[in-house]
Amino acid sequence: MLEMAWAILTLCFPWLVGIQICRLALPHNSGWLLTLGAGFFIGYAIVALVLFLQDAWTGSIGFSGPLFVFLAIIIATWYLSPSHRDPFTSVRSVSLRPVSVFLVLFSASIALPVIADVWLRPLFPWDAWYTYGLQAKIYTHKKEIVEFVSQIQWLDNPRTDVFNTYVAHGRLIPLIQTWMGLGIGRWSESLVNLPWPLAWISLALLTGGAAQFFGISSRIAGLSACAVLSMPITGVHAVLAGYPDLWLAGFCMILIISLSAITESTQRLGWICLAVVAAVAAWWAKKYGGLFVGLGIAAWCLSLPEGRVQWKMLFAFLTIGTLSLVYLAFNAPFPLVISLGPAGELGVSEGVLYIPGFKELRLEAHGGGGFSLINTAFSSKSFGLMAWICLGLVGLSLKEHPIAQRGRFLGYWLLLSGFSTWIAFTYTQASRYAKIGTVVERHMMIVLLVTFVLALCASNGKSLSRDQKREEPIKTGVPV
Amino acid sequence: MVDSSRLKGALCNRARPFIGGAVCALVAAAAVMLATAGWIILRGEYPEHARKLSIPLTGVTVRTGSVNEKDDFLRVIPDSRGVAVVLFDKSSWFLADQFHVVQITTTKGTAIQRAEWVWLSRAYDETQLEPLQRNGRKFRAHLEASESWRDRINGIGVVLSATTPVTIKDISLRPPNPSMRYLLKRIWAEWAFREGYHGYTINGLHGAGHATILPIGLGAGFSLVSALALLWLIHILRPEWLSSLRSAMLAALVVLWACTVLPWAHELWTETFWSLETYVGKTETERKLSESDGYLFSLAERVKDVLPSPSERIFVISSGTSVPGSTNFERTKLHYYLAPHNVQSLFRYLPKPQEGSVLQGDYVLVLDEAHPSYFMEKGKINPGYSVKLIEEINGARLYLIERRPNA
Repeated sequence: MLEMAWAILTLCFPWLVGIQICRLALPHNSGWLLTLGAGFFIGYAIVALVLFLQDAWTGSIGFSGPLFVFLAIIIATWYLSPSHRDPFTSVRSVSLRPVSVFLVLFSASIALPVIADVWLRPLFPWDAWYTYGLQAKIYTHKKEIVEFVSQIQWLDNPRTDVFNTYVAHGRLIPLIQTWMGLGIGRWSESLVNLPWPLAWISLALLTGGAAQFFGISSRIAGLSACAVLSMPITGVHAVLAGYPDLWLAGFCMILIISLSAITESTQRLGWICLAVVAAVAAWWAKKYGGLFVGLGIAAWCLSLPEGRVQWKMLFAFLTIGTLSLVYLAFNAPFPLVISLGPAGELGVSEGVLYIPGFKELRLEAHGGGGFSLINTAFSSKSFGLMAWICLGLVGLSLKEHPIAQRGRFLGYWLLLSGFSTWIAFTYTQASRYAKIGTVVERHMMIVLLVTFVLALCASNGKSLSRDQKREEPIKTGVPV
Repeated sequence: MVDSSRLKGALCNRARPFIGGAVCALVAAAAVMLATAGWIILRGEYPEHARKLSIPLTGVTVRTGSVNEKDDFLRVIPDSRGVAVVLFDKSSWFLADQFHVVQITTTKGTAIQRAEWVWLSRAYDETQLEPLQRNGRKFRAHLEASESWRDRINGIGVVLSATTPVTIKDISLRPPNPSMRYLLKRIWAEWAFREGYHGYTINGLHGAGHATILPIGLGAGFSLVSALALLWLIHILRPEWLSSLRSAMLAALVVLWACTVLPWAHELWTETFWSLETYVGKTETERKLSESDGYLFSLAERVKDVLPSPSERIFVISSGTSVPGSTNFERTKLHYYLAPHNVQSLFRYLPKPQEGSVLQGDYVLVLDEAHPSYFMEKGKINPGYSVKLIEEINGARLYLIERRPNA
């Protein structure tokens, strides 16, 4: 019983931290759905980051240290966040209409079995126990973020303190499970997965919140949240917990929402902070995240208003250039490290960040093999597909909102590219359509370009020659 | 006072587009099913992927007798009683409704006295048998009449009675000749099929198995497009029938969405009930032991008890069912269960033997007659190593490396 109480406390604490941060960062009219949904993902990204820094600083990880940090964050944000900027005041205005009751009951009928199953079933799918769970189990037992290498590297350099598994992706997921393990006080194969159903529910909240934020009616926002919950692809990732894809979808979604709001909002700093945390976390959850983040930023740059054409091009080149360089540093043989003499080194090389004062910050474990941009990244289901499609729908639904034209273009592009990726993924998996899937997959860059042009045509080219009429900054968000 | 007839009329008017949309969606779904079936009948053949399921002749499990696996044939050698029982790769499960005819092709002059097709269906606990009829070099059975050829087929194999070795060149399963009745039944069975969870469920698409002729997602997509076109036509030709095109379209979308979601919800609830029955009231250890791989968990716990510290380096080796160097469930799951020990389960990309990879004081856990690796030679630890048998646990042997070759 006591263990269960600790598990629930450990589970909810990061969410509380995230909610408090989002209350501070988001505009007051962003709505409680968005605050709850984004709060969950941001909270858990911060948990992983705090554990990572704790290990880098002290050489070990624990539960109480981060707990004090979180308490400090909660207290600080409580004082910094004025009471009139409480998004939860709108909860009181929610009316219980038959449609709302139906949506709640429908969501509960799907969510309850998922929560019950995750609560009871030990780690089940292959990669969950072999790739991510194995790392988390060892971190929890050793109370330290030990080094993991590929099997070949392990055999080539036999050492007692280096472990092996399939380690191509970042450490965010093992660290989330480690946090649960540390909180409970032992490695529990089922309780460490409790954040997964919540991530799934938060993704639905995020979708509904984004829809509301962009001015869509509460009823449609509720329907879109239910649609996300009922999608088999999201449900299976929640009930067979332990994979990073739900998290990647959530972070990509926060990034896209933040980017859509940054240029128009009066609370720009908050949105930028959320975008940065989401971008880093997406990359850290799964290496393909970096690519999706880059695509999202590039799309945003291209959809900036005409008056900012130079900025647009500059941003686009900078984004693509920086991402390419960093990606090469992570995957190619040449390092980008500057020696600072006795202070240490600064730079990145083969997945390791060198920062003076820290021990090696290994963002990604040593991975085996190279990286095929098109075949590997886009054949993965982890595209943040739900984020892409749902945000695409949101963008398409915009009507009178000030960012309508840009949103409309983004919407078309995300929807078309997301749909193409979905075809590539699902039909490659199901041998029935292997040929179609493979063709789309192999020529994904062309598909993205074609969908980009189609999106431009569909939005009548207005995306790049937007609102000349606008004279003053416009506040995003509508009251809920 | 409210006029009840007027209220009724108003309600009917409001409900009409929703009912119209829902009906159109169902009609469109039925039309898509019929069109798919009609298209196959007109062509006279199934789509390429659904025409034939070839069973791989490698990775077989032999229960009686022995085999000699080659790339393009399988040589089965009966035991002294003249019987051989061979089971094929379990991963090739499929839906019984998809294939009704099994055919085994052998080489000329094979002296088979009796051949039987065996299978294990999810619906039955016991293995089922059907005699194969000989026709020259081919042995064939029609399975549609068999009551137990239903649901998901989890395992398949063959029982042979022969006095001399038998060479099998090909084993394939085929659907019956296309007919409207069969095709509609099959599409429905594919849509209503409950897959159950397995290790790769998360990577697959629900409702789109190997030989599915119309995956439910695609079917719903076609149906939606057809329904929307139908509603638009009605709106143009008979606008008085639909007071709100938008509501009708929304209803069509919701109905077809529900069609794709309900099979998944059914799957979800069924699996959850299974979990409740299997796990409730048990400790975590008991839950692990009640899993299908409980024997591996039990073995790992015993090994952990024997080892002197929680940070030993252990090599797990076994022949497994897969080829050396590829993924093997037993080895990799033991890798996980033995953590936080430092385990090498020889997952894949098995390098050439390198004695430098092994340290003095490492442990080797041999699960069975192991595959050739740098430790093993003809089922025994390489004589170059000086090893000490620590303990034999549940048929597995745990060795300590006391000295490496040339060390």
